[in-house]
Amino acid sequence: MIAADYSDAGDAERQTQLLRGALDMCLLALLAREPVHGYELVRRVEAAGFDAVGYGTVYPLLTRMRRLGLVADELQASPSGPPRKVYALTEAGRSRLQSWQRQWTRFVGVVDALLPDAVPESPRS
Amino acid sequence: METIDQALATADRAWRAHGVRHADRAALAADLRLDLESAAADGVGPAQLLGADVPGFARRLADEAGVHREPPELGRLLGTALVGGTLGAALGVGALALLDPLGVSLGELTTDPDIPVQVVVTAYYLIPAVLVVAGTVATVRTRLRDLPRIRATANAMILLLPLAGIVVTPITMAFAWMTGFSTSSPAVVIEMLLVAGACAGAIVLARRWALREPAERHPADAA
Repeated sequence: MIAADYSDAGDAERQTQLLRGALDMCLLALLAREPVHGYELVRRVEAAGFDAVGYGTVYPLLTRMRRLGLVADELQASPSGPPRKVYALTEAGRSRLQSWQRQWTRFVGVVDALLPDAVPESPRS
Repeated sequence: METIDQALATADRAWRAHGVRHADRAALAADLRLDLESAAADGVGPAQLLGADVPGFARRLADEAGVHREPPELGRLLGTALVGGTLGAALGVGALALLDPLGVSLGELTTDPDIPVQVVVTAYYLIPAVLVVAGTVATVRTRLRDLPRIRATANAMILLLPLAGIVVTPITMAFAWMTGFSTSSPAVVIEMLLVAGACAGAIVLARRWALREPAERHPADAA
């Protein structure tokens, strides 16, 4: 049981580490599809499959990307409720996303090429 | 259930403790409020959105926004001030002890009919008071020279510490009078705490004063 817990904790930590290196790129990719407000972006991240990523992670990251000029914001009136700050990709953000995407594709290609041979079919006795 | 105002107040306290300037705090809060209000309109409250660790979120947000930070470091400041003040007090006691053989004792002076007793007592106790303030300020300024705006802090302390002394002296005297000028340990400890509290308040105020700043640009716009 302890071993299973350890494994779960290890998996979660590993998932966090992987996410740390890819989340900003994923946010840019989501914003490239359509400008959205902060909370909606979190929902889309969750809908994409990253259910462990909350607003507490996304919003600060969005703020950093805004500081770096990758994302711009604009206040838009909302048909229901208060005006919303909508985030969209800038030209610099689009260019950065393309660059990161190429880098990611190369990286995944290398890892994928390694993995099939890494685990033997049956363990050695 | 936590309201948006409560969440922002918690975040503001965290930013303040994190050394985020007032203008940056206001800008971060204004942005966050818009987002929290949007989420609230969709039925999602701030507690659900930010989780339990609002201060942690606020610190992360400030770091990612790249705001300029000037941590008050109050614990370090007060500890250093205490060391300096104790050294100054020791020097003050030493100075009074040196004056005594010269015939400048409090008892002799207060019996001199040409000098009002209030003037004598004030002048007599002014010597250790000045040394306490000087010791505190000099120690803070030299030992904490790595802190931002420590010079401005020390300058503010030069002004505020004597003011605190002026305010707390009659209060302490009134307390002493109420206890019949008791020299029992509890009474003396309370008197010392009153003075120490006033001095600590003055030092904290001096630090806040030194760190205050004019309104500036939005933090996220600072590349």
